[in-house]
Amino acid sequence: MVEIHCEDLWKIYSSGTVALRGVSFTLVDEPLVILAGPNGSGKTTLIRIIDGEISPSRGLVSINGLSPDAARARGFFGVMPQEAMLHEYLSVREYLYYLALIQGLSRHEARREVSEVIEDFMLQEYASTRIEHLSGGLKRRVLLAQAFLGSPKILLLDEPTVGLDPEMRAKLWDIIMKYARERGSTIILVTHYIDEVRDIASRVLLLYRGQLVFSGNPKELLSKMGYKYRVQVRLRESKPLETPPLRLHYRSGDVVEFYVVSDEELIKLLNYLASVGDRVSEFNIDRPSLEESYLRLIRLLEGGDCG
Amino acid sequence: MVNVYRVYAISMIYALWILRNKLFYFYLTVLLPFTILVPFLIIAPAKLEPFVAVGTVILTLIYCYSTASQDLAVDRLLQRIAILLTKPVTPLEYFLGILLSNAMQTLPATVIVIVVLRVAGLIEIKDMTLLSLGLVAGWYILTIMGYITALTLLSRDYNTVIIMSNSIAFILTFTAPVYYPLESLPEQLRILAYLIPTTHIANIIGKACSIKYGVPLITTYIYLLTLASLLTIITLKSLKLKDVY
Repeated sequence: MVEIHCEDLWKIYSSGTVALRGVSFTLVDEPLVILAGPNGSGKTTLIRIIDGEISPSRGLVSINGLSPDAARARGFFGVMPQEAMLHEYLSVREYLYYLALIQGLSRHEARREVSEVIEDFMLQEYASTRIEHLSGGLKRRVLLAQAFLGSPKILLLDEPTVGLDPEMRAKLWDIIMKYARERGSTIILVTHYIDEVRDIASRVLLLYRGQLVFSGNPKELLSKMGYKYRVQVRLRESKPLETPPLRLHYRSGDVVEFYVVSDEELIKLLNYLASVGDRVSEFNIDRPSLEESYLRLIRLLEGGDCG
Repeated sequence: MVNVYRVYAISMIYALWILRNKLFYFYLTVLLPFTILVPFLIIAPAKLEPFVAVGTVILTLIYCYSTASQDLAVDRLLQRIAILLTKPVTPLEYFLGILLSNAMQTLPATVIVIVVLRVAGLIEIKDMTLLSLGLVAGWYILTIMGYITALTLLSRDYNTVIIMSNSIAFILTFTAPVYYPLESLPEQLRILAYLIPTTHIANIIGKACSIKYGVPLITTYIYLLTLASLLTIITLKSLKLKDVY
């Protein structure tokens, strides 16, 4: 079991910047937690407090009842920091091997695990290459791979796929989830690509200006949008539709949108569109994205127009 | 409980940089000590030449101080330390790793310098045990001083750490009587010289080569033992790795 408990966390840096303002939550055996929020909302600070890198100014963190320092001493964490550089004069294999020893593995285990992560993260071709000769994307992969050494109970990954192409991101999500499933780890993931992991995430934590403004599963965040489907209809001419079953929103002269809250409403709307089919040039149905829901929530907090 | 593999891994991460950088190793073992040795030999009277030779050995050992203080500053600047901080490394293991790394980097360089000085006829080693003791004392005390400097400097700015550590290295090398005997200093500065560790490290190495610095050996032993104990206690009891933030 993995329990991460944060209670009334505050972090005020010596510069006077207040990075966290009374953040509290408890995570119990959550396979994948998305930690989201705008830049400067305190995500990286929260990660660094959880893994014991820095201490909170006030509040309490416990990992399975232990302080982060004690949990770290027991090798609970695998961390991929957001911006850390690597010791570039080492080869990929050397670097991972030394970090595996530092993680507490025996020499034999370290060699075996390093070979495994090199294969899993598709680094075989570069295993003997000095890190300084790798591209930025490959360095990110090495940085990510080191977090998985020693099968840590908790993986804290701070924007692991930033700067990678979509194909590589998809592969890395697969690898990350495979590890989490096989080893029962809890992953706390900071990412801007939240829709790429929405189906596998068990919880979303949303930070805004140092405060936790949302904690729940992705479906609950999606429900913040207030609709289930969005139907966009392009009309043949910009003459208004008569007696539609739902309130419509005009987007431009010949495009209208309907926000549908249930499957029943969707069927009713589709039947209506079929009845006025000669007026419809094309239509598109989509579900709200997690990113849209998140942005809507942020805009609400900022007191702006939610669109 | 210290995990020796962890200590070894930390030491290798730091040591391989210099061991693979042949140009830097050439700078450390030849360029740096001998570019200072040659002009000092030219201007020094013949009776001070052996002191200049010991000073050259101390200058090479000073690298232990510089690298211990600056490795952490560089790691902080490049944010490489973040990865080590998230691993289960104790401050003691980290310090031992730095110590071992320094041994791998500096002690071979120091031996090379001593051999060259011996071949050139500038020093004559009379007591190998005492010489080894001086080198080990220098390696340990200078490394721990560098480590404490890095962790306790109030400023977190890289440039400040580098300027401070270079200034302290300068004092350790040139303000302390290592290139000259204690009696060459004005009377009022001699007490200050007694407080600088390199005075005593040079005294041991000098004694091993029959060079008299004018400091009683018993004073040197008491001073170095007290200092080493004090610095070790400070390192083990007070310093946390996350102090680098």
